[in-house]
Amino acid sequence: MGEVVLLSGAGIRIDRKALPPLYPVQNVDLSVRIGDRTALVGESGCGKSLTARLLTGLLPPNAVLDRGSATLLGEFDLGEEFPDEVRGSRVAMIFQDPVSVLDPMAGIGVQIGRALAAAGVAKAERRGAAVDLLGSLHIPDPEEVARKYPHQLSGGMCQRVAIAMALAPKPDLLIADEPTTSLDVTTEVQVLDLLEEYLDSSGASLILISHDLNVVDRLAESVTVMYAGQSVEHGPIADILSEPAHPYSRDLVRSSVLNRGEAAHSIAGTLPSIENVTRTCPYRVRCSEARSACSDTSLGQVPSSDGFVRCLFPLKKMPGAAGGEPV
Amino acid sequence: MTHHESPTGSYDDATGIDAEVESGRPVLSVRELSKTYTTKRLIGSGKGYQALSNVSLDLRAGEILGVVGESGCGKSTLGKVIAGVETTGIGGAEVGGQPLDLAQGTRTRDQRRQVQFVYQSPRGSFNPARRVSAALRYNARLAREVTGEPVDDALERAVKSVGLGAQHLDRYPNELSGGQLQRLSIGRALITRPDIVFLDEPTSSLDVSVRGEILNLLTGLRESMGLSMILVSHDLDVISYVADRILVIYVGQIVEEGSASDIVARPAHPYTRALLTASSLPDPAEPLELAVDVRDASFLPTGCRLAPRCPLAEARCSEPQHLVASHGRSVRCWKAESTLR
Repeated sequence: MGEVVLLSGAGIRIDRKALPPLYPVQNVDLSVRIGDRTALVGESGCGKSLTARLLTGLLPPNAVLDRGSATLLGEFDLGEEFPDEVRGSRVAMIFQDPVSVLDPMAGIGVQIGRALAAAGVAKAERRGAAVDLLGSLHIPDPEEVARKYPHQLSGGMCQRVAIAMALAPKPDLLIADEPTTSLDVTTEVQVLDLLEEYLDSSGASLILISHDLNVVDRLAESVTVMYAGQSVEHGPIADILSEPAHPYSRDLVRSSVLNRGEAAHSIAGTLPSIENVTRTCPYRVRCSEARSACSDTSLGQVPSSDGFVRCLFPLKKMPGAAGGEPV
Repeated sequence: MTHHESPTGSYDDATGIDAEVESGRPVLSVRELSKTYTTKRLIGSGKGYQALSNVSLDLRAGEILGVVGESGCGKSTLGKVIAGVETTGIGGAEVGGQPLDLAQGTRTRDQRRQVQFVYQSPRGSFNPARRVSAALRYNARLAREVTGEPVDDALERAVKSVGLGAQHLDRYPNELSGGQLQRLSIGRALITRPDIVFLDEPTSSLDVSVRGEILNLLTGLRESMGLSMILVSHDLDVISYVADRILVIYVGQIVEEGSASDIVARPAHPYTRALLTASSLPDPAEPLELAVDVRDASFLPTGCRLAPRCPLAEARCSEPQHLVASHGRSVRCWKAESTLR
């Protein structure tokens, strides 16, 4: 198995009653190999969460993969029925809101036990294994926590429990959709450390979905920047933070930094409509570098040795790009 | 990183209010405010949770006071009690020299005009079935009573002051972006020409690409109108960027207070140090990480409330800690004295 996830020009269509369909994901290239830690970043509405849902088979019933190809774990074609047996065992997901993930009517130990059952742990061993798992996530007094119900725990503790459940079957691929957005900053650091510990010890792959570049910088090695349903740039995190090639990546990085006494950066305008599939650059109306060619030339990828950029006029020469011509 | 080395001088001087700040009476002063939430029981007395314990603060004219702390620390409750949305607060408060009723939440029309609120979720602040102008009209009528300004003039002035046009008033909330709606929320607060605007997490539900737009608007309003604001956020990056002074709250108590640049450069309380360590700002000289929070929300220790999570805790931390002013700072930690020296 070479790639854990391979998306090539993937697009998702959402059908609506009596209304034209929407194309929230239009052209996403994503390649995640075993052990990779990659992140999807972009504004809300850019299609990053929907891409994650495609990978876990959790798309809404009126959404389908309608363009390109998507392969999971090297063997499953996501254009067809999702392989339910891998969800929660080989592919696990951590969601933004831990409180709504947990069953309010079941004790923590019981809930983790259910996740362990899915991973094939025998019934007699589940309680002990659940407590061990909580302990391994540095939860003080794990036996006490296992007896409690979700409403008795703080948001940070609930997220730890949700992580314990996701990690119980030792997944090969962990998809974390804004795992720390609803947590306090001091707790956020601890939760990110937990995820890192698991990745270090298991060698699993990570897809981190976040709008927060600081979180991405702590956990991921590479980043795919998404804009209006397209992957516009991919590369090592350090390169994208320090020397982005796509104007959108640059603007996003700039607006995430606040320097006291200087005006804060922001990006004027709004995301384009997703009622049509765009072949030209979706960012051109907000882009300070846009030229006339941007509105009438259909857009390809400029590859580099360790990434790509989808822009006619990238801000830097892509290292290792063959000829630098759009393909 | 150099962004905290710019002296507060150039930043504050630009507002031209330094002298006034020093001499003038605070626009809002709160003294010893406590607020307890009680859950009703059929039999016996309900359980109480003290969300705020003896919080005192002064908001000076033309300054942005940043209030930072984690969820559940009482920072939103503080605003709600001041605005009269939450009642049964114990303590005293004055706005413009007039006492503010914290127990019943009763407000005179003029006090409603003086203290305005901007909520976290711009989508939740507007009725989706009505044009946004409908949501601004109540405040425009309040303004008319006091100043005689016609309602339509007030509405137009409000949208212009936040960089939007009159055409936006006729839109429905779903036709506007989150950033535009948050601008309108701020515009709605400005209609009444308030003395104080309380902003509860104004940027946390916005994309980072829009955040700067709102922060620039707030600093612009401070400069152009001398508006006094209390900005509540869990995000120290945002607070340290816009605020002149910072209050750090932990479990209902102020644990540190001081000028923004000073607190970021030399945090004294262990909680402030942990916040800075976790933020994307440069780490403090002595970074600090807290232990996992396993606090039972209904139980408040008599000593330092951070002690169960604090790696520096000692036996003496179980004694009550007082907010002690020293070196231009107030800190609630007996160990901080040595840090500040």
